[in-house]
Amino acid sequence: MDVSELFQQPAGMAYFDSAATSLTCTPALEKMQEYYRDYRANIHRGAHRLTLKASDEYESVYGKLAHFFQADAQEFTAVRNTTEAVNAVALGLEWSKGDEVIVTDIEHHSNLLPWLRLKKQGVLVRILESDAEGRLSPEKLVSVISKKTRLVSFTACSNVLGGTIPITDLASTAKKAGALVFVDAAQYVGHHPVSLKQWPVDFLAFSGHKSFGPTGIGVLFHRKNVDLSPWFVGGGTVRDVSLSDYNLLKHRERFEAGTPPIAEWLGLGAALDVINQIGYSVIQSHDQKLIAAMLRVFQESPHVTLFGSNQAEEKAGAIFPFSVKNVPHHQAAVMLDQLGFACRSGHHCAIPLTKKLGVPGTVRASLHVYNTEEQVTRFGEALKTLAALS
Amino acid sequence: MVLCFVALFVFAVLGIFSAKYRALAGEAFDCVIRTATFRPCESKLDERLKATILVHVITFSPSMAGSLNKHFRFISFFFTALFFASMFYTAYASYNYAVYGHCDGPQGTGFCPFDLVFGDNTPDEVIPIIPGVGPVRGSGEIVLVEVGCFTCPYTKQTQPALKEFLSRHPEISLEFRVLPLPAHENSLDAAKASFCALEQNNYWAYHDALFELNDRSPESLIAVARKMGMDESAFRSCMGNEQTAQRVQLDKDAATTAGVYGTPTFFLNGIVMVGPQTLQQFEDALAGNPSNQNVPPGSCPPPPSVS
Ligand SMILES: Cc1ncc(COP(=O)(O)O)c(C=O)c1O
Repeated sequence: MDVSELFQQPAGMAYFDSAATSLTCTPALEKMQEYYRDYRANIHRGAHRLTLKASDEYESVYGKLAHFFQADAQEFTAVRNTTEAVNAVALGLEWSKGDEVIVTDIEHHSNLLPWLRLKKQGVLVRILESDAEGRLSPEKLVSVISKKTRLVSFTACSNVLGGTIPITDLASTAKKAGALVFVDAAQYVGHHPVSLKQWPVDFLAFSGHKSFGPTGIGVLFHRKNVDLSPWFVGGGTVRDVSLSDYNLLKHRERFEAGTPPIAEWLGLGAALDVINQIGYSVIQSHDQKLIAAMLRVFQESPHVTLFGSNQAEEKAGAIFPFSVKNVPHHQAAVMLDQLGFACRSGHHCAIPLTKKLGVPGTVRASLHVYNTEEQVTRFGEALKTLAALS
Repeated sequence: MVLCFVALFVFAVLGIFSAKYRALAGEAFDCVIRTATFRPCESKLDERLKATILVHVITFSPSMAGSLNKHFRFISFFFTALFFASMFYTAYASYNYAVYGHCDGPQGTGFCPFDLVFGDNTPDEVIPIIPGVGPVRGSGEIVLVEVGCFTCPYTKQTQPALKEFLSRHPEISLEFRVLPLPAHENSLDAAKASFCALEQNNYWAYHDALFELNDRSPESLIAVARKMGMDESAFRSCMGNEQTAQRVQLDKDAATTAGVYGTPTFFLNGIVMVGPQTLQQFEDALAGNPSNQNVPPGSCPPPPSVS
């Protein structure tokens, strides 16, 4: 499988910012163009061939998702992104005063703010704290969880640290205590397989744009047996309507109000096909090679501080937050840009975690299957260049 | 964040021409405001600029980049101070150039870089003005034509040398053509007044007096005429008279046509002399050897209509 043929690399630079958004695979781009060019029509409306073709294509993605994640096609809803999915659940569950939600201290703001907002409804947010390297432990969760805990939400892979999370252990601990489980899989789906048949989770969300797909599209998985009200209502969600009331459709259709981003949804489907085509085993072993090479680079750079774990086996994602001695993070990122590396700098939408690391921000290099060890070697040289400033 | 001050200015100027720089100027402005209110600069503009500079330095001298990185604050403070000082001096010199025609002000004689930019100050382009129109001092056959302005410090500066030259050479007479320069206050009033003195046959005494005045407001000009025994009401009506204005205009037009670009300008035997002259320079010109005048030591720039 020649991965390089599936992605168009940006010219003149190594793309080390996949945790922010991955490259979009060429089949996804082609699929979107195919829709716009060959059967551009709205879905589930009318009888003409174009709308029928568009509807078929659209529906087929649910089938792909079901197969991909081992769940029922009815349990997937198209959303804009992970952020919308978290908000949808926070807004769609019935809350009572005194309910508790547990989130961790390594979350992306998108998996923190929607829960914090529930304070107004009397919901208390409790924090599951990570250790100094960002590890989460089910034992600790036991000490925070209680009968009042309605939901536990945690990331499957931190976008800042990239460390391994004991996902199923945390989830079953929460389930045992009778809580619902939400998993933010934004950083996970592009790198590791998810089996919703085996994972004891009620909700899971990810964004297309971090998994080789287009922007503007994401997926919310929500188990059929969990009651969730739609956060939006309108066209496409109803069975019957009078001027004083309405009757919603069952399952996922009730959640997709209005015309969805059809092309993006199809593009997402194509991206899932690409992941299958490459194969998670290839992605994972390539990640491991990149992770080992990157860790070597950091080991050889005494002027650079790497945050999070520096053990290859503890890394779920090729994500490396670091700081360069005597160089502010933003300045370092701009210099790396000039030296040919697209890295992100700042708090990466995780201000509490950045504060915990005790720095104003970090530079983050995040790699994916299309990055090469040769790029990592060059990255090491670029870091060496920056040593002159320390 | 010091850099933001400089960036604000530079980008604001560039922003006149390009939207890209307008956005950067906005960032710099925000940064300046934040700095002034002791908050961290949000836009990171300074870090971006610093990073870009350092990357260029680091490729040819890592050690220099290292010390630049370490002392960047101090160095940027230094350059900021330098920047504002040079801004100030540029503004000051521009003012001088606009008003006195020389960067260093009325007494300036050194090299003025604006001449290179604005002035192709080669006297060759000036065509000699043919005598026979303006008031004439003396009765010599050879006519030295002067285009001057009563409020121009350079015209005034040349007066003693000019007088000395005329007294040594009775064969030379002086014809004065006026070129009032709008940059100087009341220069037009002074020009008109000189013609009103001519009306009352008192031109040269009044001409000389005009250079010495501090106040050349119309009232003061009239008062001087009165003191010199001229008819005040005739003088007053002459000042407001259309003919007088036309008389001034005639001289201005002659200067324009000749291509005069500063006062004083002298014409002697086909030789053009621009700027304040020494006795020796007059003598040289009379002898037919124009001294090197390519960069005149200073002259009052002409009004826009004359340039
Ligand atoms: C762990 C994690 N959760 C949530 C998000 C939010 O994703 P989106 O911006 O696509 O909603 C991100 C994106 O950076 C993320 O990394």
